[in-house]
Amino acid sequence: MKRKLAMCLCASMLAGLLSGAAVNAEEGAKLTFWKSPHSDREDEIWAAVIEEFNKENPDIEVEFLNVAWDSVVEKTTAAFAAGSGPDISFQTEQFPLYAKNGYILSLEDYVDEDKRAGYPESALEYCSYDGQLMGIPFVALNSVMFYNKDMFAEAGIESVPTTWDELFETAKALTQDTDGDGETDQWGMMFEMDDYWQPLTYIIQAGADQWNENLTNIGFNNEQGIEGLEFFNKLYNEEKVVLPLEMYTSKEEERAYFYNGQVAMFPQQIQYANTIREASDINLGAFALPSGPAEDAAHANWNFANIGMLSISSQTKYPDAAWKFVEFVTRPEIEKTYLSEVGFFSPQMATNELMYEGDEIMAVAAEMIKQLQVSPASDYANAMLQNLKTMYESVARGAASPADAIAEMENTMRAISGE
Amino acid sequence: MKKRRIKEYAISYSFLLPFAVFFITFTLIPIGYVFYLSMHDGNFLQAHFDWVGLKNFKDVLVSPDFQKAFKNTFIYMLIEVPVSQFLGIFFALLIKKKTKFTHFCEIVYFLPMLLSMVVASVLISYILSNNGPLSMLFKVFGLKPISWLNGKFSAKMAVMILELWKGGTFFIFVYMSAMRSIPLDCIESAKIDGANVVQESIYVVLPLIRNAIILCVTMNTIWQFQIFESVYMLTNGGPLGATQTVIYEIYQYSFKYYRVGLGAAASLMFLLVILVIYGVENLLLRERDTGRRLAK
Repeated sequence: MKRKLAMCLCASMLAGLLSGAAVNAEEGAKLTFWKSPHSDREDEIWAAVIEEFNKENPDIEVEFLNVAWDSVVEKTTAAFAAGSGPDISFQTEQFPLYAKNGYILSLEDYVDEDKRAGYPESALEYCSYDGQLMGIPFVALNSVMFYNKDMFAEAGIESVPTTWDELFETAKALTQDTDGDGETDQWGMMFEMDDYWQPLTYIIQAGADQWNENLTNIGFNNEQGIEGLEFFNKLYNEEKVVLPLEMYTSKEEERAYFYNGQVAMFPQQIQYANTIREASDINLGAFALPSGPAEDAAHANWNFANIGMLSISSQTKYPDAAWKFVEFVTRPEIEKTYLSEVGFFSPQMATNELMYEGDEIMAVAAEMIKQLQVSPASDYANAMLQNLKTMYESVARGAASPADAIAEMENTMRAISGE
Repeated sequence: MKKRRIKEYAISYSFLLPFAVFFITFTLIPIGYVFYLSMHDGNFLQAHFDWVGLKNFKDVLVSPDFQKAFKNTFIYMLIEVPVSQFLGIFFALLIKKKTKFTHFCEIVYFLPMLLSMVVASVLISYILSNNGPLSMLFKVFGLKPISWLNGKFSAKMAVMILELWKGGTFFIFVYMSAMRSIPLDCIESAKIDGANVVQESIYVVLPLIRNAIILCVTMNTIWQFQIFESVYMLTNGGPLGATQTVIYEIYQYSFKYYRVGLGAAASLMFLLVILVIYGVENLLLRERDTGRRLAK
């Protein structure tokens, strides 16, 4: 009897220990969090957020790794393939590649209705794969036209352009030979060649689509796509109202022209407002990108917008702890500390109401964020980005006609996808 | 007796074991895996690759990116190899005799080899940038500065300048060592026969450093085929793919576009090209030697 009792006691103690172990399986969790930088102070900002998180969750350790943009895809792919992917990662348009191969954890079991209700349906849909939510939308951005108000005033331009024709006329008026030596030394606008998105605006605004139906190749090798790229060509080569490529060899050299008041307009993503303000003291303004000739408003008013999300790896040993971190970071009062510092918006309207009060530049983008249109994510997003740059460059340098440049890009994408 | 011999053999061969393990693990197995990948399609995230046979090889042949990259790589090789060998021999001739400046020159020549390619690329891109010292020098002399990294040919030149400066200096030391090991009698006999410096260099020094030349040309050719870092750091393949090389494209397709099989197929085709060129080079450089021996 005594022996039986002792055995029962031992068994119950063991069961208690095991159940305790199950409950506390994630105590002392060490999480890795990978994100590419949107700010020079990325590490500092995240250190502060993690410190805040640790006040609530002292047992969870989060290690932040700042992964450079130009190698993030390779590093993440290699890490997932090796079974050592980051527990939490910042994902953008490339995420379906990881999702379809099972490297990202579905968050359906974690996200409750209250959390879902904070986001527009389109944002949740963008972050889903095969009907499963693969990440919590964290960053929202769109594009505006930054401009130098003083240069507009000096040229006697009183209103900002709202159509392609007006944009062209405005850029033309602002392109000048100010010292009379016969050479242009002030330009109407500039495009940053490393920014793959801004020239795409004209292609979409003309009525074409970025992707084909299978999301494997371009969807703009058609009349509208060519019309859009023709407009880009007109700005660069026919009327030469854009800062020529020969004038700079790096992003820094190029931006200096805008900072020094030699270029009047600069289409860019909204978060650059902070960068420009820090780097120069020009009288900075912003307006919505001028509309194109497409018949439907969605195409005509298109501007590059995107969503970045926080995902949890399916390889993580600590899914609950990882979720705690993601949930914490995406609370409006927490995410605003990161987003306002960097100059982004949130896909959650509640967060946006807490930021940028009285900021006239951010107000331009905030209005458009409410109707955020995001291009679909694809496995071939990286290839698309690389080759968009080559396509614009060949047109801007006069090496190919818009029609030929588009046809060449389609061929290259076909070779890449193997279709 | 037989047992003893077997034991001796076993002991002898066991000394090869550490190298054999490394060779099999890090050379033979990866090459075998590349063969496997070249016949399949997919990426490293997938559990299984799909069998596609020779499709990847066909895709490489018709890909405009690879055609351009092969062309660029040959241009680099055809220009850079002779120039770097010529400069290597020229500078080695200048410092082959030990004088009070020799040591200083050796340090100066050796410095680029101590820099990493990243640092060297940043330096060269600064020097060649529109606001860099070279452009300023042009302006001082009233000339229009060249936007080196913007022109298709000038960007190629920029990559070659970097390669010459960073990698080419190695050959100076190889040639210098070879020249210093030439028996003094040969040089003195040439001088007694009335040979001037040019004749001495062409008819005495060069033939005696023939083996060093074969080694350097072969190594340089293989290195030029493998150009990647300088292109990645300096021009990122641009402008308009003018500086893209085969290795750069293999990297793009394998790791950026997720066509691992295509990258593997391109690697194998490239390996074949390198082997053929290596064979031709060896044949050309050694043929005369054999001919000469036969004539004796």
